[in-house]
Amino acid sequence: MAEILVIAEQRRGELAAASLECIAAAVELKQSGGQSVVACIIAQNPESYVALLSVAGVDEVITVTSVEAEFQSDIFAETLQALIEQRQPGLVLVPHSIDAWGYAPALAVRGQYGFASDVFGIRYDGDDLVATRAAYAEKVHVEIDFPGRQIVLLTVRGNTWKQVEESGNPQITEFAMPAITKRSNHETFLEPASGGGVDITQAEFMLSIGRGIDEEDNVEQFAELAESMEFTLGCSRPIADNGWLPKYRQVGQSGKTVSSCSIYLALGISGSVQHMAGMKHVPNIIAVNTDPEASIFSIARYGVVADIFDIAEELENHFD
Amino acid sequence: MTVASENGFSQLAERILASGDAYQAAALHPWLPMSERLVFEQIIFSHRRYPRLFAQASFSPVSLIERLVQESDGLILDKLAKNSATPTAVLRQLAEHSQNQSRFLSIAKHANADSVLLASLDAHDSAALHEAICNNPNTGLAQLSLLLATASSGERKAMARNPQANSGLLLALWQSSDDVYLQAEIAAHSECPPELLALAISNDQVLLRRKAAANPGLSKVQLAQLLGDCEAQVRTAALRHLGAKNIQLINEPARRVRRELARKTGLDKQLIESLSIDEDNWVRRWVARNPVTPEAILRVLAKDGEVEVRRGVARNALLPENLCRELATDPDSWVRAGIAIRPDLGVDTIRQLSCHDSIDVLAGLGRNPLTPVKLLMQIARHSDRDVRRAVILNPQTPLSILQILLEDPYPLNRAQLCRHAAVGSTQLLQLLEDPEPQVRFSAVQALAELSQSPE
Repeated sequence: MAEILVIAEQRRGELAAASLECIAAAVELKQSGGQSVVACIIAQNPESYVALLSVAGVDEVITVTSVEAEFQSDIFAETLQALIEQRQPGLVLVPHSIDAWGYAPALAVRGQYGFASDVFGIRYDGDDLVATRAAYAEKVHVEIDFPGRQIVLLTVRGNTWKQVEESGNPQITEFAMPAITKRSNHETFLEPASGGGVDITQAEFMLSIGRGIDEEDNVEQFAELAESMEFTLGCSRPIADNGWLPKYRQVGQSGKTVSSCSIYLALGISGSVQHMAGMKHVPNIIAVNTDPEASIFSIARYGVVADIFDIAEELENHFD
Repeated sequence: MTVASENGFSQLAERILASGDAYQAAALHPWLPMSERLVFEQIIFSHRRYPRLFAQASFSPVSLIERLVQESDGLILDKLAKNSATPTAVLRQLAEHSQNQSRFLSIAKHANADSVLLASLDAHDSAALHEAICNNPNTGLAQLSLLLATASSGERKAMARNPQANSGLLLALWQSSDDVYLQAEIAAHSECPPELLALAISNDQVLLRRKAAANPGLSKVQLAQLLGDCEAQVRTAALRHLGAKNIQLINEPARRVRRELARKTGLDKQLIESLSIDEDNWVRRWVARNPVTPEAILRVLAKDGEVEVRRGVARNALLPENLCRELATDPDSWVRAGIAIRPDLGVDTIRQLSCHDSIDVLAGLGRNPLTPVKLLMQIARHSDRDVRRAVILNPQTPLSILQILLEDPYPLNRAQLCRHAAVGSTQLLQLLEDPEPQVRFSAVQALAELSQSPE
C-alpha cells in the first residue's frame, strides 16, 4: 500500500499537538495495513521540529524550508501539491485546524483527491479507506468511502488519538519548496483572546451549569464549588447569553467541544441539541435536573433527579 | 399580506396548507377553529415520524397534544407521558386507557400529575412506581400516609422530602427508623415537629445538625446555638438561612463561613471592612457584589489584583456612576463585560466600552437596551454568532437592524428573531421559507399571535 503522509503544523516556533495526534492515527493504520508513515514539516527552520516528530512508527520526516515564518495558505497548498505529486501517498492526514481550513479543501480539489474533514475514525475495509465524521450537528456519525480515488486527504479532529510517546529513529529527507507566487502577505500576529487562562477543550473534569441556576449570584456559588472540586467551570448557552459567564466557557455548537473531558457534571442543564453537540462524547456524564425527562438524561451515565442546590450543598460539604 | 386581520390569518392558513409543512401546521394548530383542524392534522400525520416528534417535543401546543393522545401508537403515548408540556387531563386519559407499567411510571414522575391522578396509580403494585409517587411533590398527604406501612428505605426518604408531608407523618417516619439520612431529611422539612428539631440540633451527627440548620422553623435561640456550632458546615448552613439583620461574626476562622457571611445584606460597616480585606479572594468577591458595601470599600476593591473581585464590583447593583466609568476601562475584558450589561450605563461609558473588541463586552452591549442604534448596527454585523444573537435578544433593537439578521447563518438566531416584538408580519412571512424547521415553527407562532392582536 502507498505511504501515509502526515502534514505537521507549527505556530510561532511551537509544534501543534494536533500534528502528533495525526501521526498517532497514521501509526495506528500502519499497524493494520503496514504502510510507511511519513511526516512533513514546513517552517522557516524545519530542523528544529525533527526531534519532536521522530516518534515510534514514523519512517521518514521530510523537512521543507519556508521563506515565511508564519503560515501562508498559498505556500502550503502549492508545496504540498508538489510533494504529493512526487510521493503519491495513498493517504494524507492534516490536523483539522484553522490552517488546514485555509488550504486543504483547495488542495483536494486541485489534485482531485478524495476528501473528508473533521474525521475522528479511519480504517481500511480491505483496500478501501473508510473515514468517520459527524453530520447534522453531531446527531449522526457518517462513514465515508472514496471509490476511484488514489489519494485521499483527511483533516483529523483534535483530541481523538492519543499521541505516541515512545521516540523513534526515522530517516530525515529534505524537499525543496517550489517557486510560489503568493497572493497574500503576513502583516502581524494577533494573539487570540486568552480566555482567562482557561481552555475548556483541554479540561479533564468539567462542572457545567445551565438555566437551572436561576440568578447571576448563583453562578458564583457554583464557580466556588467547581474550584473546590478542582473541576473546570463551563456553561450552556443561556448563561453565556446573559453575560453571567464568558463565552469561552460555553459548551456546545456555538461554544466549544470539551474534547479532553472524562467526567462532565451537568447541573441544571436540560440538554438542548446544541449543548449536547459539545459534550455527548464524554464517557462519564453525570446529570442533575429536577425534570426526570430532561434530554440530558438520555446521554448521561449517571442521572440524579434532584434540586441542583441540594446537590451542590452536599458536594460543597464533601469537597471542602 | 397583512396577518393582523381575519383575512390575513386565512391567507396564512392557506399558505401553510399549500406548503404541506408539518412544523408550520403544528404551530398553527392551536389557533385554528376545531372545524378546520382536521385538514392540518392530515399534514401533521402525513408521516409517522411527525406525530412521534411532536409527542416528544416540549414546544408542542397543548391542542396538538390533546389530539395526539387519541392515537393508538404506543410510542406516541409513551412520549406524551414523558412530555413536560402534557397537561393533567391528557395524563389522566393516558392512565385510564393503559396497562403499560413504564407509562404509569412516567405519569407518576410527571410534574403535571395531580394528587387525584397519583392516587389512582397507587393500585398498580410496583416498587419503582411507589417511589416515584413518594417523590412527586403533588402527591397528597393521605396517599403518602397510606404508603408508609410498606415503604422501602428510599421511599421513606422521598416522603420525608415531600412538601405535602405534615408533622404527624414526619414523626411516624422518624419513629420508623434510626437511619440518619432519613432523620436528616425530616430535620430539614418545614413541617418538622419541634421536638424532633430539638433532637436534631443537639445530635452528635454533623449531617443532622447541618440539615436542621436549614429549617425555617428554628427559634432564635436554636439558630444562635447552631451559629456557634463547632463544625464550619453547620455554621455555614445556619448563616445561609439567617435573616438579613443582627449578624455579628467577627474573627470567624473558617473561610467557608466568611464567604457565606460576605453575601449577607445585614452586615455592619465594621464587619464589611474586615471582610473586604480578607485573604480569601472569594470572600472579597462576595463583598464586591454585596449591595450594602459602602462606596469607599468598593473603590478599594475596584483596584483588587484579582479579576473576579473587580468583576464583582462591576456587577454590584448599587455601583456609583464614577466607579462604573472607571471599570469600563479595566484592563481585563471580563470586568468590562460586567459593566457592559448594566442597566444604568451612561453614554460616555458605552462609548468607552465600544472601543474594545472582546466578544463578551460586545455581546453585553449588544443586549443592553441603552446601546445606541449606530453601535447596535455594528455589533449586528459581528462575525461571532453569539454576539449577533445578543442584538436579537435586545428588546430595543429596531427593525432596521433586525432586518439584517433575517439571513443570519445560525438557525437559532433566526428562530430567536421570530420572538422579537419589533419583527412584523413582512419579516415573519419571509421566515416561513426558512430551511430550518424551528425557524418556520417560531415564525408561524409569531404570525398567529400577531393575527390576534389589534391592528
